[in-house]
Amino acid sequence: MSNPRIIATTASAALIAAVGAGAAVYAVEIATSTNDTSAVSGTEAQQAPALQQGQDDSTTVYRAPSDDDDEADDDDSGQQINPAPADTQWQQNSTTPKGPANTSKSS
Amino acid sequence: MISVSLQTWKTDLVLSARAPATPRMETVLRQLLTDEVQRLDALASRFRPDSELSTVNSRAGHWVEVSWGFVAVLSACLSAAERTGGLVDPTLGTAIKAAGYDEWADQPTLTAASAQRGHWRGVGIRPGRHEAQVVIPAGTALDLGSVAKAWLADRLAHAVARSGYEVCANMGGDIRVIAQAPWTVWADPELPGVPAAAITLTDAGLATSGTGRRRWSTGHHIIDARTGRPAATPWHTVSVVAASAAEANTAATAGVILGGEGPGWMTAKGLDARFSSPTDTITTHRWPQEVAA
Repeated sequence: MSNPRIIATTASAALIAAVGAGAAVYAVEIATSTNDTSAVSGTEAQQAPALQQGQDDSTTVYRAPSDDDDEADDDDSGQQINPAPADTQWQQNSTTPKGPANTSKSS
Repeated sequence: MISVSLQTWKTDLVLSARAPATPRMETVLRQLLTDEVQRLDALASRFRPDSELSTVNSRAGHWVEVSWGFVAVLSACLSAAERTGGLVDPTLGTAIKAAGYDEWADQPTLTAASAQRGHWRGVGIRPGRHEAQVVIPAGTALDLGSVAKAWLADRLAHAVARSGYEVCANMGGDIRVIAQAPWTVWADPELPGVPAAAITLTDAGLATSGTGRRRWSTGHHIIDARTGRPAATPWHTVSVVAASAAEANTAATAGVILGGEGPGWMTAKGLDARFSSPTDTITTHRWPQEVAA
């Protein structure tokens, strides 16, 4: 594997940490654009707590491009797919209606 | 319980919350869903010439100014590539177009079958003049469709949960639940006579990938990054439960691509999955065989 090229960054409050052993990736915690302005006016009786819009609050990863296409791909990179929590359960004969709101289909 | 839905991207997007079913709440949920869908479309649609993704694709080989929002979606897709050793690769835009998936159409335009392998390691992200810059290898194109809907499901679920409501976000089959009490969701194998599996989640994702939809005479939309061609797979659908919708989607897509090796790969990772074909059903880890049968 080629040596990763580190991108210099001047991001303030940067938390730089190498992630993924051997990966040419460096994580930088950055100030993110947070849209929290979805409040809709209404009467007190009708008022529901405003929902925040989604936040780009995941750690942004700066990464240097690598042209090493011959590098053997493997999935032993440190980033793993996390399983569902232990309280996940499979049901027999569930009475919950199956509908588009709660059904996973391919798309 | 209240649900709002939106039909776009040739699928159904549904956002449900355990909240009072008031007109006010419906308005707020619908606005959130609509705004986020429009935002993602403007960031990452391959079919909009004015999207940030189209700009990056049109300037492959050059650094391009993008927004943090685009970086967030792209980072999720690169994470999927890293988690799967490049099986789920966001740089397959040229390959998927070559395979015939050129528009949101039932009969995609057939184009030259110039299959191209993935080059996700060639994607760069660095600070920009305003927000960030991205570069993709010359001759490649991004397609973030594999992970983007699941990423949106996670994003919407977190947005609603932060406001104190239990939530289920279903973005065309990529589902994320964040709830205190168990929330029942269904994994449909999309095979005649094979029942859907009912699963209760509290904080997890469920996704199903398959070759039955977005399919045409020359192939389907799930590209094997190792060959640049539609994956040769026996599986009609693969459903996975994982910690998030994005992770479930990533694993499900990898399971389709890996074909016969998929169940072993899933088992090695300790993931709960069901592989369904017209002649066979295989489940892994905690996914009970009796439910799938």
